[in-house]
Amino acid sequence: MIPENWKSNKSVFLIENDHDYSYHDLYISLCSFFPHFKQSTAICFILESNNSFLSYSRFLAALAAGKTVLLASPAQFKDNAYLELLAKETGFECAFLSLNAPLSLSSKAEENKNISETFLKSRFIVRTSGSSGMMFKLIEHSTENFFSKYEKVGPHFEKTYAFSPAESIAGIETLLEVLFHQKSLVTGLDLYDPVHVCSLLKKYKVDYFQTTPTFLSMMIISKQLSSELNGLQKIAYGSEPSLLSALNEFKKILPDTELMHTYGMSEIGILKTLTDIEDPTRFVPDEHYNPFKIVEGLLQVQSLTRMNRYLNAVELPSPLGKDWFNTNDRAVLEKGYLKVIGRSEDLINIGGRKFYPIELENLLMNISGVQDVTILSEKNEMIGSVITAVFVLNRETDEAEFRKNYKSYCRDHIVSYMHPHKIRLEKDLTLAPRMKKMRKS
Amino acid sequence: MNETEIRNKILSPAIERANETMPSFFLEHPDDSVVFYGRPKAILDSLNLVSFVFILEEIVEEVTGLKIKITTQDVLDTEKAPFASMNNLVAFLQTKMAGA
Repeated sequence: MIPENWKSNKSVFLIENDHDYSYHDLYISLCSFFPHFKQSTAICFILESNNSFLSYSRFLAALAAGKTVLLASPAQFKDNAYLELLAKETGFECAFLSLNAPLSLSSKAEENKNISETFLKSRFIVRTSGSSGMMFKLIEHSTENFFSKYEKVGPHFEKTYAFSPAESIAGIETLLEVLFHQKSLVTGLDLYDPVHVCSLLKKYKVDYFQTTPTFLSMMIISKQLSSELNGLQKIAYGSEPSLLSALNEFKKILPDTELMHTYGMSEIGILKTLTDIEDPTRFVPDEHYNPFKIVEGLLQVQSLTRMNRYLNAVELPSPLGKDWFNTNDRAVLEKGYLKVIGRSEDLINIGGRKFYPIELENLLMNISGVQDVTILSEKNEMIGSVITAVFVLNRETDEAEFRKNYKSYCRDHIVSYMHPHKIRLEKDLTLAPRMKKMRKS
Repeated sequence: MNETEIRNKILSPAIERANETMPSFFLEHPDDSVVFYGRPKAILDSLNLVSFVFILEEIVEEVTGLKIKITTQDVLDTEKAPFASMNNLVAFLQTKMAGA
């Protein structure tokens, strides 16, 4: 995959607001922006990004110009203090570029014969999501590693959807994988409501959709998932523990669509995995590409797209040596498949008894009238942690009836130390920006 | 708030809410012989005591607008023993609300 190949390719790269952008369009756009980045003395560019043609063009142009690039969402870009912190944490001399900033474009698209070489040698930075409540880390990756991976793994879709935020590792991987195999991408421009997303999946006959378990639940709850989405060949989900009830519900609605449990982290990219058909909350990394081991309950992996380094943190060493990455995820092997039960820091400790939020959520989902439930925890001096169960009920559920059902279910089916200390009823889920559940109160 | 008001407007609703939402709380006819915690035949243990404490704090705030915080130290105070009886709890809540 080299940008020069895009010049003569008229096939669709991106569909945005009903407009098709070809690979030829992308090449021209990249060449237009290229001089601005090439002329800059900054080593690193922090670019405002969204899943738009403009954003992608600038990102790729900056990489092609040999710059290290860090993408930031529009919301992050409004916060000057945050941008300064980002720049400081990179340790590089940084320049900033918002989406609406005018660039000094070349009147004639500049063609640079070294674009491909510098493109392949380029680096980008991703920021951890901090969804477990910790300070973010900045991670440096080599673009070349991702292209090597896609070459080995081969193409597995024709058209996909830009669901993940552009600045996330999943967002960047989606873009790079599409580019490498010169497939097509549909963007809803960062609109995350199930109605909008499903209408685009249907309209453009997207065959591969990568999302989060929480968003999958939202699609089911909002009744947007229907047999009309039969063009969907594969749906991938990951980045947080999955609710078995949601996946089983999905299988009833779209029985012919393959469920793919992905696993990835900002530090190692998205791994190639195999999903347990019988229990799609279980998966196993494809050992041909991603050997793995569990050591003292923590998952260790090897990855083709392992980061170069943290820019502002120290890596947790793996007991297996430097070729291995310590994910710090608690995992168990069940019938040859992995079940990831949570990050170590998500573990709830009540008076010395320990469990993960997802374990309790899976149980509470069995209560009649519950659409979704999130377990939040906070430290408590008396007993270690206190837990709040935040329920989203079905519209027709009577609250008083639900409280009776809740009480009797907990009494009969849940061990006492796992009983929530508070319950809260909400109309909607509270989600982190990357469509994952927020687990800190 | 006087003692009668605390019993009727804080403690009775708290017991009712606990009966509704706490899986292992059953107190059909609360009277002065009830032991909440810390003595033999207590109806709460150290795990579900926290839930009852939250309910008390919630009801106090809902009824009076006052935010009180019942701490581990309060619970373990052997002299005042706030959860040892209904009377103790009423007196404790009265003091807490006065200081809020």
